[in-house]
Amino acid sequence: MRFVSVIFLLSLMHNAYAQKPVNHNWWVGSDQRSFIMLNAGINATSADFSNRFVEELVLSDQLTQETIGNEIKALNSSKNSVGLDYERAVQGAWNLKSSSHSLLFKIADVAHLDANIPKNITKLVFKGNKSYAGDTLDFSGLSAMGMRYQQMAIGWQYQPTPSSAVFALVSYINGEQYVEGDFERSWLYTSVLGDTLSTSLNGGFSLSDTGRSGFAVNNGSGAAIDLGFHMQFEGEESTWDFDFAINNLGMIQWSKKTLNVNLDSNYTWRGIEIEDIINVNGQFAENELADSLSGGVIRNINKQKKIVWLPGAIHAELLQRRDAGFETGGGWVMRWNANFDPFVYLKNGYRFNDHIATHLSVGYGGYGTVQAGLSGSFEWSHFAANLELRNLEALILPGRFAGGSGVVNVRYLF
Amino acid sequence: MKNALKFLLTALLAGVILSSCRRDIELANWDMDLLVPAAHGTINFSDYDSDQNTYSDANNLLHIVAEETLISLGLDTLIGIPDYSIDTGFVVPISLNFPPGVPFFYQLDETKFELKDVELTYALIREANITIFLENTIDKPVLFQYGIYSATLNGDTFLVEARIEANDTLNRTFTLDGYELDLRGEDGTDFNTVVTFLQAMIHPDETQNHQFKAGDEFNVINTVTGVISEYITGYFGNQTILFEEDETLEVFNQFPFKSINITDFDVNLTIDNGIGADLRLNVQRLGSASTENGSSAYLSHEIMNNDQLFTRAINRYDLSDPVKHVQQKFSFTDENSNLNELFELRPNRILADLDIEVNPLGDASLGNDFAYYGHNLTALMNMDVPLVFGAKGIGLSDTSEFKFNAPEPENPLDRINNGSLNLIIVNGYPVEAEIQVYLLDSLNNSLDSLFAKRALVSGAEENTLGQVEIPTRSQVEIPIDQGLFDELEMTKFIRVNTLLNTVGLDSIHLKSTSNITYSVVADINARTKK
Repeated sequence: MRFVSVIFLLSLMHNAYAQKPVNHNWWVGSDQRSFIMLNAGINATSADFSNRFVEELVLSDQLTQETIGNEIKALNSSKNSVGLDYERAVQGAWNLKSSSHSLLFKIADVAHLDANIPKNITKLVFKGNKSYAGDTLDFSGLSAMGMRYQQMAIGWQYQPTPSSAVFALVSYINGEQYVEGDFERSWLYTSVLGDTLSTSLNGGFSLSDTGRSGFAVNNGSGAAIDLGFHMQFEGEESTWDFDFAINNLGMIQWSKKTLNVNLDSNYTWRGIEIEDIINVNGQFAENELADSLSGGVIRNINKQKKIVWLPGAIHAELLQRRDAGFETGGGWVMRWNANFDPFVYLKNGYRFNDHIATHLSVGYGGYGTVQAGLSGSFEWSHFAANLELRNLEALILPGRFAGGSGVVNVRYLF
Repeated sequence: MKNALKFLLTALLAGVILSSCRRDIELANWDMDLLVPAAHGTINFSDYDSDQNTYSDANNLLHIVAEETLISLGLDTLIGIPDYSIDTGFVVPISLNFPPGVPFFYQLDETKFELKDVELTYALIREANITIFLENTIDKPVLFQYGIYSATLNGDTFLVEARIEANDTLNRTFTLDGYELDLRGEDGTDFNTVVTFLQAMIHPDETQNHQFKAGDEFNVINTVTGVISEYITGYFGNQTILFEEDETLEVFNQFPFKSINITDFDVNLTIDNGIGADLRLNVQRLGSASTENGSSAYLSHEIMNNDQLFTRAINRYDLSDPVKHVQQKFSFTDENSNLNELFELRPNRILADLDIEVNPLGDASLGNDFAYYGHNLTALMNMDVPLVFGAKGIGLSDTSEFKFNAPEPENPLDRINNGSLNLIIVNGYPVEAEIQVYLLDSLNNSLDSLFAKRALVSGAEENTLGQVEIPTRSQVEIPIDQGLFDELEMTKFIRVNTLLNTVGLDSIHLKSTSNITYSVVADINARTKK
């Protein structure tokens, strides 16, 4: 229960990134130039939970029963996804003697967490089990996965023509923290009088070494590659930029101290059995409760290495570029090992001049349903910045959607 | 180079800025209603019979059984051979000159025990010690020889031969274990008589004569102690022993009741005679008394004040199984006695006056009475009381040490807003109970009680066959809040007062198949943060 609670609560934290990963755009124009860029993004999205609930949970002192009741009422019975991604990175390109070749580098701190939280587990966590005495709370399908890692990448970009470029990076991954739980079957029965709790669990969870925690500690190592290309097409009174990128195609091998617990058991708890009611004192040995529970449900527990795919992404985007006027475009994102539905979006906006443009994007999928975002971009000869706010739907309808996302990057060109 | 320096400085600055923006999230509190089983168990009366004094019959009815030895008379009580001491000193009357190795003193002596009417002719010693003190007051070493002619071990007479140095003493202890004592005296016609001899001479190793002076003296003392016989024969006399027993009875102190009605019992008194002598037993009075309420009751039964004659046990002359006992059994039932009245007044004393006469017909065996060690005259009471009874107001009180260990370091009990501990009891016994639990401080002062008023646990109803078909369910709520936890931390002792009443007007049946199951459920409203 505590584990589920922690996963659930962590999943609602703001410090995360999700829907569309931070866009590591290496294209700076037809003329190859060196640059350095600060790139940070936070995405928290859920079509099922609401911002009102999350804000009260995170920002207030007391979560009211009314808010809890409204939230539970709005949830789906079995699938309620939340996704959170966070990334902060320093990246850059060093053009070699003004040629068509550039060296690339990236240092990033990345966190990801996704979860599917059935309605009944939310009831259990936020209301308790008393209201469901005589009933069974089925929360099968509960799952969550989170990891945090640091990434150091070097790569190369080649621009064979002024309108095209290909790039590739190889990363070393420092695995800091990993947690994963997946329960295919899980339910809790509370008897009418409360004298019996029965539970059935089939699933397991893994935790990286909990004895080593803190920023950038090494609990695992891995490698990943990023691949992509950029192409520019000339259209009528505009050009079209097409970007395709595969990010974080790789794995982490978590250390041999990674805890792996497999559960497949039905268990009934009736309290501590008191064999001698006359001499009750001393029969409540410390940890007896925990021991009793663990003895009943844990089928297999071990510590061993575990290899896990990174929650990577494929991203394709086509955007119109004018000198000024309305622009349009769209894109598609697919992710693996992230419990992520394919996400498609349209992006329309207005470019005021060569330096300033603003766009509104509307998408569907990912960890939510309909999502909207607003971005502004600023470009000068040595400076470029992009600011994007996503999940506007959650700001407008906080009682219906959950999300809070933003991306900012600042680029200095040499 | 200039660009490269800019590049590095910018990257460093960016790293510092990005690594500094973290914030810890603190979640809001919320309240939950929890229903959690805390404990459970089963109570069966027979489980608490540590002395195995209960059994279950074919109908699963519980019985209390007890076996109590009221009287056990053995060799030591009837015919004990007392400790004795013989002083055989002597004084040289005139001056004499004696050579070494020639006895200058010889004495054969008969000692007769005082055993009233008992006339023993033979004894096999199980345990006994003899201590011999010898004192030599002359200037030469003396050889003493001390023997018990009556005592033999595998045909050898008990004999002590010791050299006492000049002007010296000897004090040594010997065992008489296993010796046979012929108590018929030197001529073989007497009884209770031991024959001893003492002889003294200048030690034969000496080479010169010794000149005794008038008044030279020698002291010889032998002491026999701790005689326990394995087997004795003779005539045990015609003796009467009166026993006036006033025994404390504690069993009912643990089960105080206002009234009890025992409807069925089976008590046997077995008189077992393992002694080779005729006996007469007269139970003059057998009763019980309660000093608490001043009441007493005495047994009415045919055995009372009627002489009971027991013939002697039979001597098999086989040490592995030497005696065939003679037994006589008396039965006390609800039809031939009023024994139930003795129990129902909740006694704390048992009173018994009885006398036993040995050989009421005189020396009928012509001196062949016998007794073996471990084969006694015993009065054994066997009690079998089926637990069919009616009782009101059985008050039980138990105080035990208590320590409330709040879980550390973060006490989850601090997060409880309010609620109750629900005690759910399913009672299969036809007994109802009123329970109160008191929290006591170190001076036994009451801090609080767990229940606002006594909690009532209903008893099950029996059908006409004396069977419980449907156990009763009771639920008792103990309100809990932070105040209770504070009191629990101050509690050093906990006292449970229970008042039990059988259900219905008539007697109930306690069955081994019945039990009480209970569950403790925490029904609480708790917050997620302290």
